[in-house]
Amino acid sequence: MTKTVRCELCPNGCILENEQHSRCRTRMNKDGKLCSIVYGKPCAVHVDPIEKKPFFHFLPGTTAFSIATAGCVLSCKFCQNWQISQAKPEDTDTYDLPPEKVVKAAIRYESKSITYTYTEPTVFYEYMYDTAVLAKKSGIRNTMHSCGYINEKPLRKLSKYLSAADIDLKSFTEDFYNRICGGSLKPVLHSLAVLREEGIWLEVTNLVIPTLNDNIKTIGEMSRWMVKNLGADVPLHFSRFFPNYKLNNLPPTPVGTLTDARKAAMDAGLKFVYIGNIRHEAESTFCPHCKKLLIERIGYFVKRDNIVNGKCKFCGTPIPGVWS
Amino acid sequence: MKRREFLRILLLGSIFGLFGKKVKAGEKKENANGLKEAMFWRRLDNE
Repeated sequence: MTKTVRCELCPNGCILENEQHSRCRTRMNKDGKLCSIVYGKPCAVHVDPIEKKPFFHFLPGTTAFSIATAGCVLSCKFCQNWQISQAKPEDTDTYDLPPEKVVKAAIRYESKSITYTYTEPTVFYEYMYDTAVLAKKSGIRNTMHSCGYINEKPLRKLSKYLSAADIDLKSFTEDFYNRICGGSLKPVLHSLAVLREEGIWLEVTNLVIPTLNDNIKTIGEMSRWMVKNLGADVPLHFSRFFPNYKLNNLPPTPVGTLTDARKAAMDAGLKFVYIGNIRHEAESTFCPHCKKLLIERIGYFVKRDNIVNGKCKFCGTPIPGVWS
Repeated sequence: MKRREFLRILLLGSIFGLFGKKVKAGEKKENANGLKEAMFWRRLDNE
């Protein structure tokens, strides 16, 4: 009898002989059984402001107990966390933190949510899922920051326990996903639509990289796709690129490119478009109706919050998000 | 969030890194134990 298995978690669809590891490095075929080698063994554990994820319309000013294991389903040349995302789990120092300990720690540190983040949470799916089930029972929300490179069935199963997701939409071209990330755009768009359909609070992040994905026309197309398929209320975060990993040859994103991208997205109809990784007034939330300042942010710090019961304090316009 | 609360979060954020007990990469007996059966996979017996 053959011991070959096929992983059906993400679009990579790894076919593994006995003792072989998956492309994400976190799963292996052990005697004809696919196993996770990172369950309960995070390499990064932090208490972060929820704004760091970034979530700007989800429990602002609260903390998120944040965990990650090594590994990733993609291999982005610009990865900001490549030291752990592109590492083998056995090459990283890890904590012994099974799901029940994660939930207990989140309660102890008074975090309103647990975020699966830093690397790609899909690679520690079983760990994330079991933790999410326990957390929900304890009244703690679950959120993830993901590249959205996951198959529909596992995503829908996880969605029952998720409150919010921030998805990296890294570009709007297949060419970028193929050449720069070692993946494909189509499954990411599908995941975004699935999350929207499942009623998960959704925010989208786009890292703008000079010369690679900073074409304003393409950014406009991406924004129009978002308005049509996800709705105008979904916040979009344009994040500033800094030279890193295999893209040390490129300069940081010019501020003008970020403001042009923001204008293109707002012209396309998106109501909440932010600029991140830089101090800028577009870090703050403005009412789409009366244009007044609603949430004033300085980096991850919320200085002022003028949203009362989910509405603009000045004109009463409902502001989409999860506020309590 | 008040400034004091924000500073508290920054402090909490580093607590795990400073005091959390980590298993060093070199001390691991990977694959010997601690494996968890994965979800979403199948055998290719009949293909």
